[in-house]
Amino acid sequence: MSEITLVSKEGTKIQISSQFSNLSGFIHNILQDYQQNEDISLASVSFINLQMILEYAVHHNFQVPQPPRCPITSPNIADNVSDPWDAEFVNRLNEDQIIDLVTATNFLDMKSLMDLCLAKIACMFKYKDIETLRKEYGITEEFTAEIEEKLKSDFPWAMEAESND
Amino acid sequence: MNFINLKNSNFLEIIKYLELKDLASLSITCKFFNNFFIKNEDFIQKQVLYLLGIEYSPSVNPWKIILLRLRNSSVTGLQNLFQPYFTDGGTYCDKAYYFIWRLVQDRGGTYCTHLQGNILVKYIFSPKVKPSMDEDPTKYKISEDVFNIHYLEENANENQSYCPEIRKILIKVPMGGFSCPCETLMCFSSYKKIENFSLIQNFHSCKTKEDAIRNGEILKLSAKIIEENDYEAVIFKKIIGEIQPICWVKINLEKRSSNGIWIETGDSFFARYFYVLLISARKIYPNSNIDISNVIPWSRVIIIGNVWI
Repeated sequence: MSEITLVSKEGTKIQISSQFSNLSGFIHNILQDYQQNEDISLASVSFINLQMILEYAVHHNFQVPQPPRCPITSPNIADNVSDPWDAEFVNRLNEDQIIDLVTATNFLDMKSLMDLCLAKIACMFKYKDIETLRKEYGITEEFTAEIEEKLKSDFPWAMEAESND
Repeated sequence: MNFINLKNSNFLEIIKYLELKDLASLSITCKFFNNFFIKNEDFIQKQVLYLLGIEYSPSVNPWKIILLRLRNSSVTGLQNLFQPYFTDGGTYCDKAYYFIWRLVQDRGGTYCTHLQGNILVKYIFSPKVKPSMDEDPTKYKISEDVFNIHYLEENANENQSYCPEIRKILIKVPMGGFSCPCETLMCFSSYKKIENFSLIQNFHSCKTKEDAIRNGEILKLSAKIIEENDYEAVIFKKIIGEIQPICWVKINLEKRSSNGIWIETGDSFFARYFYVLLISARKIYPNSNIDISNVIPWSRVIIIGNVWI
């Protein structure tokens, strides 16, 4: 078996090497009981996400790449991955696209790409104090003044932005 | 914030990528994260202890209390509380005057090895028990060049609720009168007693900073390079594992001062064991040894358990 046919949630078919099963636990399991020329329906994966996932898979030659550095040591994803292509790939995506892609990788049980997306999200939280985070994500007055004061006294470190010096 | 649409398991994975201050900030940014931290309290506790290098145990205090103690404790009152208790490098002429206990004596003395390089000296957090330096080192001899002051380790286990956080390391090489002043060395630490030293062996014969950086990269350590008049160093940002590489140091023997050099360790990290790999010395005579006056980890002690001893 050299190629399999994946069907996005919109019904679009894409052919891909069966080696894709190296990266996806979902596909790996399907192929255990697969009939030649059978379509594999990916009901939770949009065509756009499927294209991105396959682009990632082809770039890595269907082999599991090195995982991102954990914990990350910089807010720049490029400093935390060994292949610069991975950083360029995930940096193309906005917040919503990353969330969609994580959802798709959840469905496909595709840990390597999910790790890359989650590390990218972690980069967005890196070295930021609470005021910066709140400003960036438009969070206002969620706690009462009393609770806010208590939280700040319990977590004084949260008030101090760290640098990567 | 659209991220709240992610699954709880995804957030648990994101947490693994973050460090202490990031977690502290995130935990009180909004109700969503505050509730997430409360709901996943056990996971967060384990993760923070892991980042701090503390072995998980139900008797360890909640992470935010440990972080508060760290923040409120003074970094000016650092203490010299580790004792060297093991060496595989021998002792010059088997004399007490040259034995490993001199390494933490800031009043003078020098440890002189018998062997020439890649010598591992192990220290232990031993705030209550100190060796008697009048004793004969051969009393602690296990084999030709291996010495072990066993009672230090036995007594150190009584102090489980305290844990030192190493902040600075003082390194001094003798100014004169010794033929083989230490030139390159590395420091490591661990929370638990370690039997497997293969990570340290990766740094054997690591005589240049390029070697140290390359080895660090292989181990996925991020490194900060320091170049001073009297030394150059690679400070490793610690990753989590059994043994934490702290720093590689090369001393400029022409420009060394009697005050020694101070290495700042950076991040908060707890350790009960400290290791020095004496890599090489400037050799005036062939087949000689390594002479080093001090390698002292200075730390502040935080209570991490529920019980005062």
